[in-house]
Amino acid sequence: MARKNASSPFRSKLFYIPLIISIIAIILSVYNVAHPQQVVIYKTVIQNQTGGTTTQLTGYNITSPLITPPTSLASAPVITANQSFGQRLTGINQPFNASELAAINNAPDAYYELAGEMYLNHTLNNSVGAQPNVVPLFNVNGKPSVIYFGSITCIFCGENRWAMALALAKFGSFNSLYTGYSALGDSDVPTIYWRPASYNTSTTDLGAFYTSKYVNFLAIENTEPITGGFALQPMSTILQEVTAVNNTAYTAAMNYIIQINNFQGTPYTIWGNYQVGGADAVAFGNSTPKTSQLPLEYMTHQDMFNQLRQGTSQLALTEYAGADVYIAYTCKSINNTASICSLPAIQKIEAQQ
Amino acid sequence: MKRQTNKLGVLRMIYSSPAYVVVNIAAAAFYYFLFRYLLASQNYGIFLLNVPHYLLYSLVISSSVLLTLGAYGIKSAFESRGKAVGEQGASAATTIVGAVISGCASCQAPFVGSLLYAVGFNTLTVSSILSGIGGSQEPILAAFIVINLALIYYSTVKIAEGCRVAPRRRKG
Repeated sequence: MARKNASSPFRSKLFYIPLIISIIAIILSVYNVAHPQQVVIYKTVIQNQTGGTTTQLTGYNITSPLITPPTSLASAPVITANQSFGQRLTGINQPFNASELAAINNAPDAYYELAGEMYLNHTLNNSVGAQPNVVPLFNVNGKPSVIYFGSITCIFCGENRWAMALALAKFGSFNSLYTGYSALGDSDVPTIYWRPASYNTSTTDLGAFYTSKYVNFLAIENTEPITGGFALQPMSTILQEVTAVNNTAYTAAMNYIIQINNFQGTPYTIWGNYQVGGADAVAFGNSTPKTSQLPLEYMTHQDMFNQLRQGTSQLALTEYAGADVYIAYTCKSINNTASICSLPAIQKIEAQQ
Repeated sequence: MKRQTNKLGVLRMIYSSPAYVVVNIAAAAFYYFLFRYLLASQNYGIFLLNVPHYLLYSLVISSSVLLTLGAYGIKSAFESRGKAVGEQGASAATTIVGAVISGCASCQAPFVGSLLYAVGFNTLTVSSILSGIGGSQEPILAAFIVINLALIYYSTVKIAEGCRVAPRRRKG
């Protein structure tokens, strides 16, 4: 009787299905360990994308105005209440004042140099670096572009925008930036918003207040309610939302990301000829946190500005080093025509590529 | 009612042995650190949990109980030269896939994303899948816990049946 039960088809199925799932899961684990694409490394490697559609990509030469976003949103007002960490949205969508803006726009070259050298000689505590793919230029109005695709709710977008802003500020300047946070459910880290964010609704915000004679900056930011966790709409939905705005450059930029065909999450950036998946630095404190308690989560924007102004902490230097990597990609894409490209550390990082 | 008593009795019998308590604790620790490793490896080395902690602990505990039942089933089968009873494979699967799903809900999902591209999906499909998983990771983890509980029940039934049959074999 027992043997009959043991060999019944019902028992066999129930036994082998989880076994097969286990084998698949273990194969996935091994695959992940063998292809640690998003584990940040200490060297910069340029990979030529092979296969897929990437090799068939052609550059863009577009003539189009860029988007000038609104300076405030009635549906997403500035929150003035002083809230506690973990539930903090204090000052969200507040424009940076002149001093805060200067911390980004006028950061000293010496900090970039110091951080770059530390990155090169591996004396930074945090991980910095990326594995970019080489892509054709996306030219708008005769200039190459930096394209950013992210989400306001995303923690890595949040920490990475500091490095991005520091990098972009060396090729032009921001007329406005805004106080931002990652989602309350995704660590609530203080960050920069490129423009006032639709933090109460699910939509896509476009544009930034940035001018440069070297590059364009196209910012595509998916938004979800900031009080929730990280969420990202499907790319097809975001494409519809971008297309609905009817701006040639932004629609083409979104289509370009889709054509590159390697999107795996946010942040997703293109720096001239270099496409970077994910953040290029892990900057949540003075060292990589061992627990889910992130020092950055317990910092105010003023704390962050102070650290950037001093340029001595590992956190600040990690942000500058992350900026250096982006600067090197951009310099190489614009034939080193910007003055920041002459910094020795930038040239050394470029030489690694 | 009698069958229920037998199943509870099976659990009491297994956990009255210190060896199986140790196996259970070791399995729970192993699964917890496996979960942490897989999640951190998808998040730049940082353990960022986007689901409530109780879901993680429930998954780890239920998986470890399932593994312990599996260990008992294998030992019993070895001793009686019968077929192994237990779903120890499933306990690993639910933990590993659970960790992968949790990683999917952060900004980056290199694990699932890489795999989806490897099997030929394009960006639009990959982003839709990642978005879907990210938006429903809590129900998915809860479903894994339910699967574990169902398999614990199933394993207990099988072990109870084996216990009833074993004396007859010895008589024969």
